Amino acid sequence: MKLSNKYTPTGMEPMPGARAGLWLSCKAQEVATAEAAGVGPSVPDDEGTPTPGTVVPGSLVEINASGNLQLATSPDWTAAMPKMIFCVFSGDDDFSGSLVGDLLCYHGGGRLDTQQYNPAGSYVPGMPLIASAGLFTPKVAANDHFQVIAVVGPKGLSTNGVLDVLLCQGSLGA
Amino acid sequence: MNYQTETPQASAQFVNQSFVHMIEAGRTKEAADESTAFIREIVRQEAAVREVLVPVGLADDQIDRDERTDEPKKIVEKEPQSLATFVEFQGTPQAWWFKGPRYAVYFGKIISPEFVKSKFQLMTYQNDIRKILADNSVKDMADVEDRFWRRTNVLIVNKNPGLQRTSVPAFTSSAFKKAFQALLLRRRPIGKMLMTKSLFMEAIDLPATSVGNAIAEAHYRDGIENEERFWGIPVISTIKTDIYDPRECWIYSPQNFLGNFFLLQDATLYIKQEADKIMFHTYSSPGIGVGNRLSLQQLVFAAPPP
Repeated sequence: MKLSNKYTPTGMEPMPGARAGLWLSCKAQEVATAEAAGVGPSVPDDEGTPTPGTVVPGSLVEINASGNLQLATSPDWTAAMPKMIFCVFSGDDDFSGSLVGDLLCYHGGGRLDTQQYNPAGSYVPGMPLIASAGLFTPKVAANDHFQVIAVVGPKGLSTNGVLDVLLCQGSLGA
Repeated sequence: MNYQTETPQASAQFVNQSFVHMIEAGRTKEAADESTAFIREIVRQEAAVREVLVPVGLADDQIDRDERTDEPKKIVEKEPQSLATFVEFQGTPQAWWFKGPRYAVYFGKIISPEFVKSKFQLMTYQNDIRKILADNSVKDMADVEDRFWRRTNVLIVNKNPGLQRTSVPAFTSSAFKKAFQALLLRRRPIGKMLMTKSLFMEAIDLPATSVGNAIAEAHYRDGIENEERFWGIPVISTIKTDIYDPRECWIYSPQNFLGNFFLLQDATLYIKQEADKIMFHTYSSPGIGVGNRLSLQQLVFAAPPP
């Protein structure tokens, strides 16, 4: 390659257990908001301990116009553009995440067990899933045009409250 | 057919020893010390935060655990509150069930990219490009520490800007006096100041009527690079104008009034070779906390130095 060429692949390494196609480490929107206010996630509290955030591993996020990560909601493709949706690997709710204020997330394909699903839905293996406020949610109707980002895995919803999810790369449609 | 066998052990030797030794020396090494014919692009510097808070390495048994997570933290105890009162001779003391507040320092990881190159392509470089990359990446990690430190400072001041941000029109003695007094009015001692070198240069314009003939003359004759204190307060000056705002000066209380800088591991080089591919990256694990939010003051000037 010529030295003047600015091409550089910059993707992050896949992690064992979640060998997804694309990894991203990026600030959470709730942290960016707290930074401006001087109070909230990642900001030291009155004693000096960083405040935990609310984004937990296994939830779904998207990049907003500020370049930060916020909880994802599948768009209706008849009214909005498609989205690239990521799954959170390490959130801002724990010690290190609280300190740094960044989320580490990945875009499929991948398989995961998660507690971050809409408890009001019913889950059957193979059922397509959409994102709703960061939660995996059943796609209700074939013609609702909400972007499908995963399907329920073969184990379905376990009795211990864990959902088996097969995360697709891109989208399965809408 | 004969062939050579390369093991990971041997490959570490393949990379020249000084490369490894340099990393063992870590961030104490100055870029200026490097003898290389590379044309430098920007000045890299050690972390300024390490001059405000002295890093302390933690051993395994000094880390505090938590039943909800396997992430490390360090709990730091703070001075308990106490009081005294005047009473008449028959007076007796109240019971005071004392408690000492605490705060937790959490840790993160700073990493460089993984630098990868074919050893055959490396042969085309007459300088040791691996050494430069590793040395610079350690300093890039220092930049990350500084960026995090300034972010923490700004977060703290943003919560209490009326008290902890002093806005002034120009770089004058009275501007600094105002910020010093803000700290002292909160019964916090003054320890150090931190500012960019470009702002530091503004001191050249301090008039003899303000600093005296001898100092103004010395600044004219020798410049201010040798100046280590302003008004008796030690000054940390940094080249990092992309991290620290050139319009601002931070004034801190001494470390025991301010916070802690812990290290689970200081900057470390990890290097390996797979066939013809040489890969290396640097990483460290620091934790920085401010336990006394009122022990810092931000002094903001109206305009940046030209």
